[in-house]
Amino acid sequence: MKADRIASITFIAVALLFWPQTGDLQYNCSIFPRLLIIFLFLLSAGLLVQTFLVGSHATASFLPTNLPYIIPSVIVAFFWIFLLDILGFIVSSVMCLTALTFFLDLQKPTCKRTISSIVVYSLMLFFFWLIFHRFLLVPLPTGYLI
Amino acid sequence: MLESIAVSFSHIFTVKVILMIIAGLFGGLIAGALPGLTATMAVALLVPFTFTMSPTEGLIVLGAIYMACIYGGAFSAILVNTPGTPSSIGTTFDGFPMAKKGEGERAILIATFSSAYGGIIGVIFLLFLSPPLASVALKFGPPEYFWMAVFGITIISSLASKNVLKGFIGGAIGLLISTIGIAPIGGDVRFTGGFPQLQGGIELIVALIGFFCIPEALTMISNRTQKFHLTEAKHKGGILLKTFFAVMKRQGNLLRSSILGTIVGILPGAGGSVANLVAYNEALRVSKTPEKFGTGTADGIIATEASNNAVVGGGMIPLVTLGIPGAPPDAVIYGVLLLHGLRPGPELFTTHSEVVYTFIMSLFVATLLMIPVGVIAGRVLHRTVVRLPIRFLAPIIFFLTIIGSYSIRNNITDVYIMLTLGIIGYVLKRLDFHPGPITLGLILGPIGEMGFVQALLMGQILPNKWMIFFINPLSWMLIAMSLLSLCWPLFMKRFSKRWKIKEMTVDES
Repeated sequence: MKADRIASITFIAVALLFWPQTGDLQYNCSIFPRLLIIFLFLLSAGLLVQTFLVGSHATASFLPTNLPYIIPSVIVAFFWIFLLDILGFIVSSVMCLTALTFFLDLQKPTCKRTISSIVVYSLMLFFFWLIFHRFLLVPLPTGYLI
Repeated sequence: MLESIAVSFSHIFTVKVILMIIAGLFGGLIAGALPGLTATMAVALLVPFTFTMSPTEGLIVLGAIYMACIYGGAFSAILVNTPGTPSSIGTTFDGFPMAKKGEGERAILIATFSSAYGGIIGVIFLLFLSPPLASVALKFGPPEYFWMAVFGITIISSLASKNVLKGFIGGAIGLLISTIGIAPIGGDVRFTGGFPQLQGGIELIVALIGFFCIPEALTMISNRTQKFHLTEAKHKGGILLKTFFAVMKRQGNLLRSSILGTIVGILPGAGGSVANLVAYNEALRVSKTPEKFGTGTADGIIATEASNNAVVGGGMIPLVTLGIPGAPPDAVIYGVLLLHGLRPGPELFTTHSEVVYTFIMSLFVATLLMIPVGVIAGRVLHRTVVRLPIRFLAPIIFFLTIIGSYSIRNNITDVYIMLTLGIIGYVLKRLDFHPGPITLGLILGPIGEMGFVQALLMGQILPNKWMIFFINPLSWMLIAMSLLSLCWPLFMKRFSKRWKIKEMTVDES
């Protein structure tokens, strides 16, 4: 119930945050978003009232149970995107894929398992790069390396 | 006409053309199964390869790619709860729960047979009913498009039956996200927060990948103690035939969804992303066991897959008869027709009947060939995903999301947006705000806004401009459909309670 209340208050805040930004817009550009903001505000207010009247339907807690694994994975993903333009598609992807696999491994990582992951990912990415970049001419991120 | 059809078969049934169709189907399946690679992108990417072919062969290959790409989206929807294309959003609702129960192969087979059925119905409509259907599509003006978007939004009341309020909040969030960037009419920049990168708006596919893939990958990470993502399937003998007959028994659902898909496909701007959700909603509304929807029922998969493949034929109807593409991939095919000196329009059937009929019949053949190709590819993919440990599957999903969102506009900002939306989507999912209504809002936002503002501009000639939304009988029909769709779950709840009370009193007596 607490989670639903926080969510509804957050959405009301989002609606209140968006509303002033429609002030300087022309009528044709603002009419539709304004209606949506009102719609969001009313629905969120309804949800807030619902949490007081009939309790909440939320089955899950606000925070996941495995945060020590989720947060580092998200950080690695952001770092991966950052590295794409610097190290290039293949190098950054091999690095981050291996790091994530290493991190999620339930067994104690060994040198052999790490090397085999690097080899498998390198081959997979090279094959991917060959088909998409060389054959189909799909632009892939490029950096100082490949 | 019959003569042209006979001639077209003689063009299609050659080893070279059949091999080209099969190659196109495999290419389309792979593109469709990879989140981020849409049918439009796959068709557009492969256009240069058709330059060396004759116009007929080029169109045949592109038609096969388009058909298979729409179907291929079901693979990732079923196996990793991530729609490969926006046309398979609805497939995640029942396909993934079925796969979680260890019935992933069955889910893929249901999708295969339903897609083929829908594809064939769409082609039959294209072949025999093109001119009258295209004239109906022309009657849709901005007010009708607005009401169509409203009708689409009311589907949320069925999608989010657990908590309708949360469903509509999700829809409103999706609609609001769709307004970020330059306004379609007026051109003002909205809600960018000073970031020029957001002026182009948030790309639908980027948001779709974020809202579906990232929460799934994060859920896998939080369940990392499980070795595999899906339950290992027990091999059942005769599953192919059993599933085929089980699907074919549901003729009502198949036909209704295919016809809905064709009609939505005819309307320019709507496409498979709308059709699959409309068909899912109608299947749920008509079903005698609506409570089973969302838990892994075959009817849910049949509805979405039959409708999205029927869109392929439906979208071609305004293209070949009026020169108006029904969906974005049709626009690419329109360009290919022009490149080869063929001007789409009413005269196409008379001046280049051989090419047109060969193309239509090749779609028919490609749809049939999709069954063996899909069964083989589906089995291989299913076994791979089922046996892939989470420590590999989760990083690979991250990889596909990053590349998929980058390749749409070759923009690294899109990847950051995708990941941010994914994290928001994960938090919302934990609070019971499911991605379906949010993406529905994202899809219908541009259609709704365009229709709404254009209609208001048109209405300025009337004493009261708002009356424009109620003048056309088509508008009234859509309003009635919206009200029915909105209130249906409430009716069902009330009636099912009464029925249960009656049953209990009968039992007691």
